[in-house]
Amino acid sequence: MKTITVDTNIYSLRSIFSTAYIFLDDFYIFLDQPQENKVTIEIKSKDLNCDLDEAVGRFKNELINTSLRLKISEDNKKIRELIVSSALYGKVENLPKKQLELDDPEGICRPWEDVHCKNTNIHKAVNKNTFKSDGLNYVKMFKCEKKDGDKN
Amino acid sequence: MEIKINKNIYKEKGLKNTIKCYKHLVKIDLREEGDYFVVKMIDMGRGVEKVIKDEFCNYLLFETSKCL
Repeated sequence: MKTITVDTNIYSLRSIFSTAYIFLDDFYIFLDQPQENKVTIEIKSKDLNCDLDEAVGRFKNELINTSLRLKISEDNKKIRELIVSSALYGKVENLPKKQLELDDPEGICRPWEDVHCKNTNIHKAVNKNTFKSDGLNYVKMFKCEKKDGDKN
Repeated sequence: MEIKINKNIYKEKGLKNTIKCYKHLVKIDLREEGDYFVVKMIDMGRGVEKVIKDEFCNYLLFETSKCL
């Protein structure tokens, strides 16, 4: 069994836990805090033939890696949330309107009704699956022209 | 067999979840002593006595990670 002492002013408790979690498969790990700002990590191998010195070295390296990863994650938290929210809701706040308009030289982004339904008397039947979202109407539309003798 | 678990490191919720998972293997008595929870294991089955403490601590670490 080997014991490492870590200063919590340098490595956060969260990064110690994240690192310890990576090693749980091959080692038994126990944490304690004998004094303020110091955490002791007891590492015991599950495999008797394991080189513990090498494992302790790997643990220390992984601790640096995890701390850095958590710091980057914390720094990029706002931008990550903005990307996810804009992907989920299609909203990009504080952008000028011109930037939000699509570049559509071929005119393919026009709704189907604007292109093909010049006849205003067209019968629109909306079934139960109709749903609407912000700015866009997804309307299932079909003609229902019943003729005499038609059963459907 | 006793395990002293530091309250500043491990979460109570994690400890209770761990005890819930291990109660079918061993009888567990929990008490508090200052900054520590003291877990006393009684009547453990033969064969598990060597590893149960270490496995318990690993599981506790995993449960506490979930609470952070």
